[in-house]
Amino acid sequence: MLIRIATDSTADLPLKYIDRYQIAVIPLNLHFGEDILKDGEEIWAEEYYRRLTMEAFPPFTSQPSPHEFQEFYRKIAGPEDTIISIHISGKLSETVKSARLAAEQLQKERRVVVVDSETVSMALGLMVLEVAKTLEHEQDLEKILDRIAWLKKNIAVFFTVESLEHLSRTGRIGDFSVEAGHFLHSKPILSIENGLVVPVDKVRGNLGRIHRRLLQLARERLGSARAKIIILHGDALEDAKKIEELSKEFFMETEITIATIGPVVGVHAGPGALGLVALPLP
Amino acid sequence: MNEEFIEGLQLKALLAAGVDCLDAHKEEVNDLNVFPVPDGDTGTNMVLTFQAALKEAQQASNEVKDILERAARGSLMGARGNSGVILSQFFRGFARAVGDAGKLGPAEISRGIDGAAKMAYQAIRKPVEGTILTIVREAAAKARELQKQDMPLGEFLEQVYLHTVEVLEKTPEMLPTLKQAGVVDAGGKGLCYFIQGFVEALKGKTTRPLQVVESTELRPADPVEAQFASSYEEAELEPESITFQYCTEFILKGKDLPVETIKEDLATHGDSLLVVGDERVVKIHIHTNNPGLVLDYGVRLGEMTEIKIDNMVEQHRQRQAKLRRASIKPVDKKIGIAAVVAGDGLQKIFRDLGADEIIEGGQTMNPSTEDLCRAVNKIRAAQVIILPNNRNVIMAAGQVQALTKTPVTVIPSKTIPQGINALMAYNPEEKMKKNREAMIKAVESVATGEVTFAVRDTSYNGLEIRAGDIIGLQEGDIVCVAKKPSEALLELLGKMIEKKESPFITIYYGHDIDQEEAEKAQAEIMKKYPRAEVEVYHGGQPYYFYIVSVE
Repeated sequence: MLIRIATDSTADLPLKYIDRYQIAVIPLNLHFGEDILKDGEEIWAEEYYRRLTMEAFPPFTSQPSPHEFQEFYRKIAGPEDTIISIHISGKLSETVKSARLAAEQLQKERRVVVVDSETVSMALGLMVLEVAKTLEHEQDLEKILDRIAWLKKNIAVFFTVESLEHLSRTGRIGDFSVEAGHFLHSKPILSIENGLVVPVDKVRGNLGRIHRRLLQLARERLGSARAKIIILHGDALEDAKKIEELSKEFFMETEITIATIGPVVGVHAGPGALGLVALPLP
Repeated sequence: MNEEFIEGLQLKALLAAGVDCLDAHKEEVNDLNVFPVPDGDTGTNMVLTFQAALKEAQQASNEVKDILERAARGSLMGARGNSGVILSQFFRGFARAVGDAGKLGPAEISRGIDGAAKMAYQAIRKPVEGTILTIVREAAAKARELQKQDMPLGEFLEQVYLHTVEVLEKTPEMLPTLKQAGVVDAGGKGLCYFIQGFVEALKGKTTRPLQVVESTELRPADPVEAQFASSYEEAELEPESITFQYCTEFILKGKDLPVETIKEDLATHGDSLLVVGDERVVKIHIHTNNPGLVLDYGVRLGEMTEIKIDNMVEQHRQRQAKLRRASIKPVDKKIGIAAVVAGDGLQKIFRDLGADEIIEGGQTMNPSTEDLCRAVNKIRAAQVIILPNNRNVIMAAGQVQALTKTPVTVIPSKTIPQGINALMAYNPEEKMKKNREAMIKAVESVATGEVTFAVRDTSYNGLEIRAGDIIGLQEGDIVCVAKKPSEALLELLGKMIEKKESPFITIYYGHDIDQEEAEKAQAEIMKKYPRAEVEVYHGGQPYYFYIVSVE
């Protein structure tokens, strides 16, 4: 009897972690016109951002169906096993709903604990990763769930987007003024709170100021100079590297990973998005 | 004229005389501003505030208490600039200290001035000596001392007045900035002029006659017109309290018109009687239940023009209905923002950043408390934040809460860049408390510079300044003088940047600077500070060639 961990493709987990910790990932769907592609299986970040510049119509996304989830759960675990299935915020996607429906229908075959992470991208990814690591030495379900609750509280995420237009088009942002700061070329700094994208600040000036602000906000939220940091970018590796460089000004000891924002999250964040996920080191 | 006590009708006339005297010397008071910048001037602000007080007072009954309370309310509504707000505190303190006294003698006036001084000192967080505050405090002390000596009212007031002038002459000794500029305090001087007009009218030797009606064409800005303007918009009369229903007004033209006799004759016909003018033209205002009798009386004395009769009970009903409609304020959002901004470009920027209402003004003309209040009431939000964006508007903004039911938060932004930074930090998803903290922090994190011209000769901070010189202000303080705006801008930036490693500079160019010129200045700055980032925007603000921020 094992506890298996599962998530969805919006976790933006780099392949090396998926392999190393045997994380099961169910893909969401990316729609380019008539084309439906499975995120992370049929389309990857690099290809996505390249194709985006050539498409006439903006892509959209859809969640896996409950049926797909049933198949997924059957495939990844045996009847004796327990699956902890952690997903993108239920306020940003219907994925977790599909997962719950599937879990209910599978009641007699598999034990599936569905968790709404109330976050997305590598904030979700980091949560999954930490749980996977915990599972290597801890198999008590209660303790694992406690760990998840702690991670939910302590993972900080701040990000900026080139334009709020994508988040607003796909309805992933609250009703706050999308255009605010347009005249002064200000950029929004956003976070995810209680599962929703919320505005945190606006920053003017070149990217250096935004990079610093992201780091500063993460440092303030963590209240610790020792952190595990994941820098996220939507086709903006150079900027991500600059953040890595600047992080020394804000943190003393860090474990830094640079990750790409995958196609599905990329549809909503838009190209040029930059983010920072941070967790205090023990 | 009874010199021992001032009673209702006379009090109104004396207030008017005081305001008139100040108005006549307004420019002189304006010229005393230590800062030679084209800002809301002290004299103008004081006159406008006094006129608002007078307008309300004239609509009061002839009870002293009512007159003073209405004057206090009027001055609160009309308070412009910091000097205006202080005046409104004087009125409030005076009215409260005098209380129910039906007439004003030395004892009551002494008590009143004392109350005025105390109220004003309470209202100011850091009272500065050598200002209007010192004048009123000294007046209170003198009045207290003289009051014991049992002297006639006229002499008593004259002595108080002479003492205030003496103290005024000493203000440069108390405030180094005054001494350096070689002037006395502007607000204090304004107050002295008011007292002068008041006392002279009481002693019957007005420098100018009350100048009530020089001709039938009244200038709208004329304080006397303000006193007559029978707009009852703000009146708080209850219908039961309207004992005389018809507000009757007309101008009488003739020869040898007996002003005093008219007053006496009409006194029995109603209340709120006002008869002002001279033997050729008299303006009459009365609340009566029989306008016919009053007109009949007038027609026998001369030719009547501009006859106006209003049914006040009906007006009251309409106003109540309007108020009821207005009091159900629809609310569209949790927090709204009102900002004081001049210049089309800057106004656009503020709107874009989420300001719901823009109050025109700031540098050119300080809006009154009432102007600010109107903007607050227009916003359909449960709470409203005010961004004054000018150090001389912050206090007036602080008074708005007394006039509106909507909870108001004032973020003390002293400059346009501070206001912009505060708005950048505003988060519509957050509660007021958090927004307030974030916005105040944002205000403190930006340095402001302004380039304008000197409106008069002065010396300041060791700088000799001639009218027309271009001056650079850092956080409101003059730090450099130049011949050209771009020169002043560069020198100013040199002081602002100091040791900042990679400054972020934002320039808002004013109405009198074209884009090309601004961009040339930008290129020069970038050449001089290669590590700086410089953004340039059209501000369109009047008088200020450049407003600049450094972060």
